[in-house]
Amino acid sequence: MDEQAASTDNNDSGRILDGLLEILEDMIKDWDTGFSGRIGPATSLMNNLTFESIDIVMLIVAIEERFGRKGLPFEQLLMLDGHYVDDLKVSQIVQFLERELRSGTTA
Amino acid sequence: MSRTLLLGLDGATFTVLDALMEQGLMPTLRRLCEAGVRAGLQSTVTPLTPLAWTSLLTGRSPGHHGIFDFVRVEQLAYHPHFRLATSSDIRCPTIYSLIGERGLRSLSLNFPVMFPPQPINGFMIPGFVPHRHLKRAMHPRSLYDRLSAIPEVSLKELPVDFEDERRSVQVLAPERHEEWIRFHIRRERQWSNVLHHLMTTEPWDLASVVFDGVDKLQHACWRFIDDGLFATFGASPWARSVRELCLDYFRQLDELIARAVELAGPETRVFLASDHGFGPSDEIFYVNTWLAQQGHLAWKDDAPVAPEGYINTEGMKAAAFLFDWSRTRAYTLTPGSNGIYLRTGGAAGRAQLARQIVVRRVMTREEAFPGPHSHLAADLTLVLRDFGFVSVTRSEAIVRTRRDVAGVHNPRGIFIAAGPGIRRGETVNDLSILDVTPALMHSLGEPVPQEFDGRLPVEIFEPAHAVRPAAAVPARRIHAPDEVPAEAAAMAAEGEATVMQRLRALGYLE
Repeated sequence: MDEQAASTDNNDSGRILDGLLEILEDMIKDWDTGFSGRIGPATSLMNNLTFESIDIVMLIVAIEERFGRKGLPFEQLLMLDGHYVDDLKVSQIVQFLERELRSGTTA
Repeated sequence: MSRTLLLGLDGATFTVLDALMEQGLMPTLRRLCEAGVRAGLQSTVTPLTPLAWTSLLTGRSPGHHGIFDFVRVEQLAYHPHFRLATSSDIRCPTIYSLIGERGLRSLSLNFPVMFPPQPINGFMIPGFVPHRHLKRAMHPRSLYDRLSAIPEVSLKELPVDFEDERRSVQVLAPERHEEWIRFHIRRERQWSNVLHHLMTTEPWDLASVVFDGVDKLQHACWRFIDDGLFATFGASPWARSVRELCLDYFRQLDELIARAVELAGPETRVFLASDHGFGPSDEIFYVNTWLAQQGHLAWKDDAPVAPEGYINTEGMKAAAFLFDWSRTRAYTLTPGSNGIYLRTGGAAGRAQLARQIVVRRVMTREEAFPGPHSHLAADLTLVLRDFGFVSVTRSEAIVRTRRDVAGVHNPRGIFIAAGPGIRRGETVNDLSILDVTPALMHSLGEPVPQEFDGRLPVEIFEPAHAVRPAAAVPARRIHAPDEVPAEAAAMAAEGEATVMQRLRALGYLE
């Protein structure tokens, strides 16, 4: 990977992380999560932010609105054998979005 | 032009309401019928909440507005998945946008598929939004804090929990009936309180709200609500108490209707409409089990057989994970849409048996949902003989009798209109749900867009008020023709011949 590509990737990654953090902070600011830290890549949606399955659904809507893309294959990230995964970290979503937004493949 | 109040009663049917009016339990509704016009209201082909209310709010059929279910199925290469259908999936303007552009203000409460909220000229709280997301769902956002400060409003009681909703449509445990009914009585009152607050503190031209407890109660409690059915089994004290609570729900709903009508005042035209009707069902058709028997679908070895009475799997998206996709060519993902998706042209199969047993009609998506977005709908839509939902779960039989009669959607809903310029005490022929939007536009003094799929029901108006205002104007397009996705263009090019070939291969045509 050349320097320019790496720089672009970093910017994309930073932009995606910033956008995701903005969504999450806005989403949970009135929730009674008991989470007092700052949301970051290592934050767990389920364990730290008390996300339930319906919250994930609403998060997907917010992400798709924010990044202007519909039909991202979120099931690859969120589902395991027909059920929601037990845990999901911010960094995993960022990695997923990096990959999918770059590939440009939507349904 | 007249201020206009639209009261949506989700799933309301005259089968139930006429009996309640006769028994004196819904005097306001009776007065409105006597002072105005009533008609049956034919729903969309699939009488399902998201597409039917969207049709009523846009004046367009599903093939044009693009909503076919609570979810949107994405056809991926390996296997499909689905996501929540949202307001950004609606491909035509709503009545709120249309009249907002002309300076009229709207109040929109509890309509489905309105999330994320669009910036209308007025106030909007979409339906089907969990409490934790309600603040982000309101337009304008400041409305949340404003409502939080009102003692009569409990924002936690406005939404319905998705999982509760899902369970109630399937099997509601006996011990949960009372709690379920009381919950919806409280919810309706909360929506009424919000409506009351906005109607009294904000200028408005169109005020609209959906009371959706009617649907929720009828799903779970049809056998307690239907007079004839209840007479056959309702001897126990528990059954009588459940029925009394149901009747109390309708009694209180009538009070809320009276409150809104009174607040709107005599110069306001009042419209009541339901997105679909309701009726009884005593059987379940397991469509995926049938598809498996015909060789079109394969279950994974560990796919469980569903408990009795279940039409859906528990947990989001689970149905898609019950199939062996390497051997599945046709499948149904959600019960409400009654839609079968075909992954390929399909191997030969015979639908004749199932069609004879339970299927009233099979429609291709071009027949069911004509329009530029029909490619987003399921390939085939089934109309069952009781108009009910299919079950997507695995079963040991294709058709099973329900232990208790349940309430299921029916295409014939209700329409009532009353107020200045509306005929008095008349029953007119059934209208289409697509005719309601032109009626609302006309009531508001606005021209009816040429692109609307319904017609202005002039027969509900006094002759002096029935004149079509000015010239009809084209509705603003949200998606220009050249924005039709490539997939749509490809599907259109595929042509009728291919579709017919698919049907023939599945045994629907000889």
